[in-house]
Amino acid sequence: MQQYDQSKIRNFCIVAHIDHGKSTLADRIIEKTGLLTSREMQAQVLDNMELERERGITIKAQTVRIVYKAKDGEEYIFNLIDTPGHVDFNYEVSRALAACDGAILVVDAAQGIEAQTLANVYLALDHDLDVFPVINKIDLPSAEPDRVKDEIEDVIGIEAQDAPLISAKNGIGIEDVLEQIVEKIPAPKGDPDAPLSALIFDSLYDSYKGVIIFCRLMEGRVRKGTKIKMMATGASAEVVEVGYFGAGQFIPCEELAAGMVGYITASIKNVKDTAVGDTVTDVDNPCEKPLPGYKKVNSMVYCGMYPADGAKYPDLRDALEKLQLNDASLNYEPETSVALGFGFRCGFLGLLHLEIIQERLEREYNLDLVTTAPGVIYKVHKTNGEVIELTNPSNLPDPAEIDYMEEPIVTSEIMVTTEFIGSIMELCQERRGVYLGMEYMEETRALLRYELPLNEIIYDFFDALKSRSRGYASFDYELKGYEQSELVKLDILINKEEVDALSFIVHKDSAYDRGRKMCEKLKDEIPRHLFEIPIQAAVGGKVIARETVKAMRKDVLAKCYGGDITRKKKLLEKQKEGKKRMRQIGNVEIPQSAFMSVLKLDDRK
Amino acid sequence: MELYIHIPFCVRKCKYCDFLSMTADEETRERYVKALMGEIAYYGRHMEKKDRILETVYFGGGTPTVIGARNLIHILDCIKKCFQVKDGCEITVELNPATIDGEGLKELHKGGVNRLSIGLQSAHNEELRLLGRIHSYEDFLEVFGKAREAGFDNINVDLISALPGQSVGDYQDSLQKVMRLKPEHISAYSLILEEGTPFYNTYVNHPELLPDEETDREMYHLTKKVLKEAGYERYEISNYAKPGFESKHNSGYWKRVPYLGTGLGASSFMEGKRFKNGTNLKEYLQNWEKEDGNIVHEDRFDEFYALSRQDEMAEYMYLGLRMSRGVSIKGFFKCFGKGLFDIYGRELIKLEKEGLLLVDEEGDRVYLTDFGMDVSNYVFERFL
Repeated sequence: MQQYDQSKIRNFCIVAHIDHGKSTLADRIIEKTGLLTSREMQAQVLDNMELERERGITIKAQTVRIVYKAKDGEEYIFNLIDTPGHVDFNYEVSRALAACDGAILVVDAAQGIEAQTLANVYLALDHDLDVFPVINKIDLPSAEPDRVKDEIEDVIGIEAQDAPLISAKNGIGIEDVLEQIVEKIPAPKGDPDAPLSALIFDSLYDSYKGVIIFCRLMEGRVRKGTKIKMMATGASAEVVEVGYFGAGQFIPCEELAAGMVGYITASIKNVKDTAVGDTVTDVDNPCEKPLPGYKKVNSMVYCGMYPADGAKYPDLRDALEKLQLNDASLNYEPETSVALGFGFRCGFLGLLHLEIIQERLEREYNLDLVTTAPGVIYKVHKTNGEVIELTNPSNLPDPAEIDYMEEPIVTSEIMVTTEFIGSIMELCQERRGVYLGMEYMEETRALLRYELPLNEIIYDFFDALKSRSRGYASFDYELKGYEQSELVKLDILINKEEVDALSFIVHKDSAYDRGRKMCEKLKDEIPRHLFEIPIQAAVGGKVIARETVKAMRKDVLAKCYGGDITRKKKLLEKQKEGKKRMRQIGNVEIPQSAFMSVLKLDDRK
Repeated sequence: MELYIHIPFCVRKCKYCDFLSMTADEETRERYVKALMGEIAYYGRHMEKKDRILETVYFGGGTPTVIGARNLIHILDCIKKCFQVKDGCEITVELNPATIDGEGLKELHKGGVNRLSIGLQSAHNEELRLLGRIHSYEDFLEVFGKAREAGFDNINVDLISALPGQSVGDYQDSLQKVMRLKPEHISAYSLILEEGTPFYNTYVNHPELLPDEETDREMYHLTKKVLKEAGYERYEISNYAKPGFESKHNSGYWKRVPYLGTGLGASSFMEGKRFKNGTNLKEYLQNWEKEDGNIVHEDRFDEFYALSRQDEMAEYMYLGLRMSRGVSIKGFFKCFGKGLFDIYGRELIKLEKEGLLLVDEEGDRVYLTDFGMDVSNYVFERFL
């Protein structure tokens, strides 16, 4: 084991707006430090989930420990803690930041500061991190490093004149970044002889080692045999192994001490026991109080997930169980739908989190899923004083029993070029936004602040935002709280039968519009039957919109040349196969796509 | 058994056609005739004599007459040598107007052909042009007249309805023009867009250019009504005939009579197996034009499929129900040793309730209603 010298440790992260080059810079840093040869470098070492690499975003925080020989001749240990890059994972980001002493701010030399840049840098400053900026993509023809430097100083108020000008993609200026890490990021503090307190910033389930806790030692030491305790969850266990993070592998060591970043394994079975933000301490010599900032993460968005093939229900249950081992923020409980059979009501941090889980279930577990429209948690205050947290619209009590309802509200920041302010404001109005204010960042760009109901932004707000600003607007939000709202349950009736999986909660002013769009959409999705099928949207039993699927008049293949019966049979089989994938509601067959189509109702471009 | 001979050549490919056909030079056509006879001779040598009795012979295409009447008769002579052609055997040749003259027709008749199937498709020249046909209505009148002169007393005429821009009146006019000629048999199909054809590419995203479903059905129902008044019975979804002139060959497909298909891409149904020749012309020629023709590779088939009991029962239903007379309940039991209702009771009851099918237990028939014919695929898939 190398010698332990706190002054030679640098714990830091990189913050940036999406696409500004955070992961690429991380790759270059790892490469330049010589732990890996260029040949060994896979593109974007840190994003190791297949899905992450495809989407180009970081979903789970990754961490790597590298050794850098600086120009002063000394060897430094860098712990680079990569943070998730999406608002759904804000809490995870905040815990990762708390494990650092400093941060590199990456800003795109052409695009300048964006909404997430601000959100992330403020988050870093809130955690008392020393932040230094780096201007990336300086080799782009549209790069304006001087303008961006001024912008960083004006808007964020941090020194930017000596910011390294780099191209992470082409490996330009990386040395400067490494030197500034040594110079500008402070060494950790903390007493290795004090009682143990370590911050959990991530955890991972491994089928051999059990839960692997990612942590930053604030005080004290931990080694094999230490009896540890998670202060918030109360779980305790004996340490089996400690170590640090090589690139893509775990390297055991004898001891972790104050200031170090590493991992602990202790035969823990469930990541629920090692919640992000919790404090690890020594059972025999506990610290006085836990580290600040722990909170229980709550799901914000819920939807129903059903196997397309009802027989796959146990497979779906097993898959969710496995995913949850690694993802404490995923919740699920069994539910049944008249339309879709047995499935689960699942809770997520946000829509991206939902999509990721859905894709992983389909890809890694080979499941064909039907997902119902995502919804938020509504608080239903009943006349008898009871308060229900409603996650499934079907469980809404009888309107007579409801006193009032509340819905979650977020405060959001939208960064947009001035030419699109009008259309973005219009979008926010349509989504029941309350205007809070606007600031000009510079002549051509402004930051809009709105309060928006969460249920208006979980479906397609981000897409609408992008399409109405030609891709220029950026967006960030955080939960503000609950507010009373006039909400109604919109039901869809197909051939006079209510389809529970299609019901959703909507503000009463949007009910008509949404109902009409749903009916139109479903009309295109439902194939013709031998009889006419009315599709109706109803609120409280009153029909507010209607469409009709006309009866089938013709389904015939007349020609059959030269006795090619096999070809005919194949056509019939194909047709039959298509119907197998449908759901029978009453005597109507509904394709699974119909259940998803309702997710994309904003047809405005 | 029945024998099908595929001639995959055309003067030009029609814009809606996705059948196996192509244009070819004379040398290729001659080589093809030789190869075809090689294939026929091979089966003649390798089949038991008792199995080599032909009830029908059918030259289909493509346009069989493109290889010339002499070649067709040449092939027919070869067939007569290798198989036993039964007395009263139905021998059909498909043809398109403007591909054969009076002499050729006489030659066919003399050579033993006793049925013709003429592809007219429409009696309107602008519609014929749109379809990419090579002939005019006048060409058709000429060939039809010459065929009668040559002595043909069993002629089918093909028509297609629901053409782009076609009105019910336009179609009715075509139909009536054909009826006035009093052919013994009429096939009336409604247009289907087949993937990969120019028609598909033009119209698949522009359904508004085609008659809508209502109009399509109106034409279809009109056909039945008008033809019935003129003494034609619908005996299959799209086929109409004067009594006694139903196509024996095509009915054989629905009745699951064994048939041998020869020629490029031809399908066969023999000994409970369905198989299909390959569709590569070069390989076909190489395989069959050798003098000995004995070395025959099994991979010459694109498909080779032995039917299970269940397949056979399903076929019995979805092929048999294409015919107006439907299927026989006793016949089913005779074939499979099981009651039709024991196997398909649930489906049959449901379909009957939906008004698609009628059961006449006394008369021993199960058959489709007119509406059942309109949505026959919906019915047939229940039996898969």
